[in-house]
Amino acid sequence: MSYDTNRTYAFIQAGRKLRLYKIVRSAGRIIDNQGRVKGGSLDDIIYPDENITNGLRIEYTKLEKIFVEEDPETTADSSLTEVLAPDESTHVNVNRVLSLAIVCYVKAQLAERMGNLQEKEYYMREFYKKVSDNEGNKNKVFFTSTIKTFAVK
Amino acid sequence: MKVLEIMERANTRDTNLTIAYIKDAIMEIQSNNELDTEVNKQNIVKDTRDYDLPPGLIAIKSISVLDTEDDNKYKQIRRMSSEPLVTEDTNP
Repeated sequence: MSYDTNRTYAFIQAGRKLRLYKIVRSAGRIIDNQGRVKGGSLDDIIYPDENITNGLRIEYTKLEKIFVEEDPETTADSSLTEVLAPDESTHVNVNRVLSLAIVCYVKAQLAERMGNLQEKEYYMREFYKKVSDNEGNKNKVFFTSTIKTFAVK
Repeated sequence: MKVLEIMERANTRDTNLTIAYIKDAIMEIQSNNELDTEVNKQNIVKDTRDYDLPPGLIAIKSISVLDTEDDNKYKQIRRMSSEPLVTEDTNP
């Protein structure tokens, strides 16, 4: 019987655990036995007080199929075969723009190994530039609709 | 792009090191962008605070809790800025 869960639950991440709390709303003001209003009281935070089947939904990013046998540019994602022990002939499962970004990242790390920090910074900037180019390439479509003259606003 | 092509472009011959850097790069990309997202659902258990995060997680995109009173919708919940003050109630 959970209700208003967006307002009554909160979480915090602690290492590999997720800590889930329930917020119990209390009355806004406390009145003492002489009728004086003391001011606001804080909401209590308790452990979840009910069982909810499949109640917690975590949406997250993860690494999946980093290295694959087939070329990801020409093969559908569901048909790609993951390679657990990659070698030089293995494909990296990202598009062309991100592959070029990875090249910059590898160059940056190699420059750092050689002690060339200026070059490292340059290639890391190039890396982030290419990653943001890739984000910008995503076709975003916005839907708008007009509001009628007498609509309740 | 093949690992070999990345090695040639980066002018290196160390395959294992390149593969390690590729993994790091993808981790870096994934932590700020959404290449692959996945959903994990767990039961909420009464009086249980801690829940396992799914294996392989890089970044949390959103956490939602099922609202059974509102057509079983998952509603996104807030992240707390700090740990709350805990007092153990031994005599509830």
